[in-house]
Amino acid sequence: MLQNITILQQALDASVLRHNAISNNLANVNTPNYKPQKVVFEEILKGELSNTRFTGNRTNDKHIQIGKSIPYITEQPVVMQNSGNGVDVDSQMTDLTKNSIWYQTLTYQLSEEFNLLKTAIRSR
Amino acid sequence: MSMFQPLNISSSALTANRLKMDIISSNIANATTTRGKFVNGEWIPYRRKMVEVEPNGAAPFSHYLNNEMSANGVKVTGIVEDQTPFHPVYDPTNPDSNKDGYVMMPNVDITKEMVDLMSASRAYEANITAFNVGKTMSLKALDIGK
Repeated sequence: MLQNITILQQALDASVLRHNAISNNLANVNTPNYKPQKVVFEEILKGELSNTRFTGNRTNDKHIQIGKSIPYITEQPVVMQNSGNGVDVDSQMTDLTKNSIWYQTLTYQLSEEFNLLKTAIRSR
Repeated sequence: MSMFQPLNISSSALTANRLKMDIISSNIANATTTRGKFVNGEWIPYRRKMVEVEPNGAAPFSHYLNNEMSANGVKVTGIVEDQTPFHPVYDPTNPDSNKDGYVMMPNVDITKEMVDLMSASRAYEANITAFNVGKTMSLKALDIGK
């Protein structure tokens, strides 16, 4: 039960991160040589849920983390304009809308989880 | 990660695009200004101005190494003057014409300015949409548990 809430919370975090990346791409739509950022998360979540996670043991802060389960950002080496900018406004707007609906779905689901807990606590 | 980070990102772009539109308006307004600057006893026509932008807080390599987030919107680094030559126009009656009857006109190309203006205005609209979506998401988060 509480594990579900943690998973949903991480998904919400990832969704906010993705929104940040998309709005940053839109903010830099006319910046020369800017490359769009993309958030990679669902693949990681899938691995997390199927419990096939492989994590490296870090004995020093300078070690690179292996099997880190937080979402991360990659840059896409594409070019859309003569200025070297790679932002595709149409696809970014689509992703923005998709992500927003996904976020609202997650908040609804999280609310429902809490409602289940409330029902169980009140036992009626 | 700040709660208002998405809104800050979009608002930085709104500021940058508005400045861009202001500069473009200035270029169009001064498209025929032959007395832009007074240097060494003679008038120099208005020079077209451009806005330089770059991603705010460009990430150092260590950020990439640690997969750290660096989305801070956009930043205006400066306003620069276009160094392309002025357009000579034959008009002997103009008080600023030289001894051959030519007047140097500003290097402003109205077509270019209009295209830039449309581009900036569309970018502004896109960022307004992003801002509104971010606002909706933040408000939705307040409804969790209700």
